[in-house]
Amino acid sequence: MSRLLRTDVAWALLPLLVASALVLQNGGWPWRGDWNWTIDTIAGSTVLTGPLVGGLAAWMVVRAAALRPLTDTTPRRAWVVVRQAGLAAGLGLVAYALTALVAVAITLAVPHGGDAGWAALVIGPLVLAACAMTGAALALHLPHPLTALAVPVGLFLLGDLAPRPGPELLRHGPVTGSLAGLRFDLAVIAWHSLALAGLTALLTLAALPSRDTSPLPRARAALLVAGLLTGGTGTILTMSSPPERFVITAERPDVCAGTPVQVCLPAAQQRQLDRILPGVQQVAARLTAAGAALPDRFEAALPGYRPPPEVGLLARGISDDLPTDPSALAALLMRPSPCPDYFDPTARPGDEYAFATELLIAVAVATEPDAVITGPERAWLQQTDPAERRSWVARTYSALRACDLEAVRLPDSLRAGLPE
Amino acid sequence: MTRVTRLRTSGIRGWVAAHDGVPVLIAIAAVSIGTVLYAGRTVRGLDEQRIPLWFLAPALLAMVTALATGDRLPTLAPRRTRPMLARAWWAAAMSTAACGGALAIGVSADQPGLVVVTAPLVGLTWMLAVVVGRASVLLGAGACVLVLVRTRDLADLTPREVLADLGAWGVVIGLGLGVAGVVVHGLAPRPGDRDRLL
Repeated sequence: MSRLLRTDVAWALLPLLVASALVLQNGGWPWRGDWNWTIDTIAGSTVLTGPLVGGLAAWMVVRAAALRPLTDTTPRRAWVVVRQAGLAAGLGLVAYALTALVAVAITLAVPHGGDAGWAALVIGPLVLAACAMTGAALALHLPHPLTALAVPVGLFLLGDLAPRPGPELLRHGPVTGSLAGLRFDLAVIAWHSLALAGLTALLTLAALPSRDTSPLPRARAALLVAGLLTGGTGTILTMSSPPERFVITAERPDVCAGTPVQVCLPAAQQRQLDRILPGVQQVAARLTAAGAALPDRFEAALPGYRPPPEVGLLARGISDDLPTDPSALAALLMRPSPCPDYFDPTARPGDEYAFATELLIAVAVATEPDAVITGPERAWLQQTDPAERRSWVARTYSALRACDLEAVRLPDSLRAGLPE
Repeated sequence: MTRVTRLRTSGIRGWVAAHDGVPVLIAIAAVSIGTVLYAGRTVRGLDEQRIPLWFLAPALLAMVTALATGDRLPTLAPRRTRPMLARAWWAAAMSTAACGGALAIGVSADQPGLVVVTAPLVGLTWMLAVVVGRASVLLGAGACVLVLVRTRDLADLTPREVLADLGAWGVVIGLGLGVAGVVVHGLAPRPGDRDRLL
């Protein structure tokens, strides 16, 4: 019997581990060295493993339905379904723990940093428990293999398409973007945990066979009261708080490297520093040689943080999908001052500004052996007098540094080609 | 004459009941109608990209159809003509139901190629069922999970492109192998059922 159980457990654990591995694979993108992102990925694995655990619990209950005549004779017969849900949740917890171990090990193996909100991990087991109890309760009342299929599909769709607070309770990551400058809002996590704990208590009540009188009425009453109190409180607090799980922190881009131009990223993104630094130094040297007066330092903007006026702003978010070709890295240096227009979604610098920065990028990469520059920019780079070219680069870059974006103009010979 | 008809009807009803035919057909109808009604709805995958609901339909239909591949019948003389014919009819009926659902979904979602993506997946599910019985549900479930994990890569894929990769022969071979496997080797009995029946 125990051997049979061990075999079943091993098979049941397999899909959970495969699902966790797919989450950890991170869509083929490199692993971020960001602790909060790691934690969010671990908790987010329950987006898949939660519904699977629900299906597993339902399958166990459906299979055990054939043994009902036997189990109904035991003293603790009323708790059979709850125990099966507990076993399914336990398997989910094993997969969750293994996911956490692997994720932490990978993060430790790469340059890592940033805030670590470990408390957010508490939500995973609660999601698994709620999903397991949902599957078990449904399978008790609808003991058919189709229930074991419908439960995971339904739980996954509920986690996305249901009205609030369904998605907030069932879906805790994984985010794909950087979490630098953000931390988990522990109050929101606490409200979600309360709601999930209450829901699990009520589902446990639903998983007790109604015709059976063996469980103590006191246990039923306790489950009902605890479920209504914690679930109700958690749901009300969840609904009355904003749906965001993160709040802004005081994290700053304080991991700096490079000379003559220093590049500063938050600790959570420091893994990217090695990736972009050599290329940035090369294009910075070329821009300087072409006449641009670069600031000494470029910093990444973060939620709630803008670099001071004398410091350059890295023009794009630094992420794994940022190309490291010279053009993309030169584009990073096109905001030598954190101008207000860059943070105003309604401000839209004109076409001439856009074309002028493109030309500056072309200047920065023109001496690259494999640089491909076409159209009028190519002619301008080849035919313009070097002194005139140098003067235009210096004038344009200093206008960018002064945040005088209206003064950013294309050379006269190229302005004729501008759309009206 | 009346007696014979009644017996035959009873035989078919018994076969359908032994293979969970009615619940499976209801589930196929539910998946099809639900997806037709919400053809424009999108689902958020694990990488936060959204994919249309119809994208999951082939995997869901294969998953549901897998439940009709295990039976409660004793495996007596599996290679006799009549059981083989019965299995052939059954596999054809279930495949037709699943492909019919996929066709309806494809028409409503303006993805006419959806049915030819569903057909080989259903066929492979049946083929797998010859070996593992109803555990072949894992094929559809795996496809479902893969779609949800890889939304970023799959979001712009259309059934036409999948068909172009598979080729018409791929579809025919996928479906044909599955049905042929079931017809020749029979369906796997559910765990415990064989002992109880024989």
